[in-house]
Amino acid sequence: MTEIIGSEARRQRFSALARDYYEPVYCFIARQVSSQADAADLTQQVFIKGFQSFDRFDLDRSFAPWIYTIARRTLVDFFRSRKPVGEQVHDAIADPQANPREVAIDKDGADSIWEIASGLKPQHHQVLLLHYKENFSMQEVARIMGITKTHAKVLVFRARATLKKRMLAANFNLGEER
Amino acid sequence: MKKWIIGQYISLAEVFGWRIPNWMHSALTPRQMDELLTAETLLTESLKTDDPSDVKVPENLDFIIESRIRASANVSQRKPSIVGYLLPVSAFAACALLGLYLLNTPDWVQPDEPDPVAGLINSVDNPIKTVSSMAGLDDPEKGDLLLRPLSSEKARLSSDVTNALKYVAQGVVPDQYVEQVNFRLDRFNAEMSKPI
Repeated sequence: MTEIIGSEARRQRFSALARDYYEPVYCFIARQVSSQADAADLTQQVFIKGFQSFDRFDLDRSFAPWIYTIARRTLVDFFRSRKPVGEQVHDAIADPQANPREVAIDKDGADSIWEIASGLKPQHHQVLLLHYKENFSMQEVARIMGITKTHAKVLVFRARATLKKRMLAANFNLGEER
Repeated sequence: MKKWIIGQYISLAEVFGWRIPNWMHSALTPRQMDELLTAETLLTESLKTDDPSDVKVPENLDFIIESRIRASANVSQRKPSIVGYLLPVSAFAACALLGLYLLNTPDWVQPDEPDPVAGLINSVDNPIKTVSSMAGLDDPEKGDLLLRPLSSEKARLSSDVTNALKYVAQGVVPDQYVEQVNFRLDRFNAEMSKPI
């Protein structure tokens, strides 16, 4: 009985903390995967993983970086499971311009800066999303990505530099968005 | 080249939060400098304000996640403890059955081993012959052949018992009576060792 009460209390406590992040985490994931069904499924996985490892969460720390860390790792697992080994090897030596999303953008033109950003390397896309869309500080971005703060800043810088090049290639001018 | 280097520095400064040194301001025209700074600021603002339009949050997302978490919590409640992992219920049941069986079973008796000689006799389709029915057993010599092993075993046992008693007597009986005790034990031994 104690176990049931403890578990129920734990679930309620987790839900109270997590409820505010259902949608942001869903959006964070949906911006990186192609289908909404995958996004919904991955979001559920994130919160179930969070609930199962909630015992290890330090309540004195912020909940958001913790749940986003789980989300990022879930996405990494998802991308890894989706890609056949041969494709991974091929990607490592392939021209980054061959990204299908980017090809589509080049062909039809981008509607927003994030549409171009979605064609960046996943790591670059993630740091941009975390820092500019989710409003995490560089320290928090570093924590979520499992890297140092300086490394996180370097990643953001490189992502911005690549983004500028892609914008130029797509004739996308800021302030003249379609 | 100078503009490109300063442009790179401004890009870095935008991310790292550095301030632009004065010499850079003086190295470019105000228009060029303003162009570089504006480009970086505009990019940052666009990244912050633009919203990807294609993300639609499912209406029942809260419900789906909550129900999945609740289901996950129920599963974790049903997880057996570490004792359960080590000693499963089936093992407990088997132990209990074995215990009941042993409690309700009379003393276990070792089953008689089949006589190999009888087996051999049966195998050649001969009727099993008892000692009394064997022909010529009345002959004292043949009878002696049959009973000799029993007789020698009796003598050996008697001798062992006598020796053991003598050994004990040496430690217990006073010296003056030892000879007498030994004599009586020898006589007992002799009587016991007589052939049947």
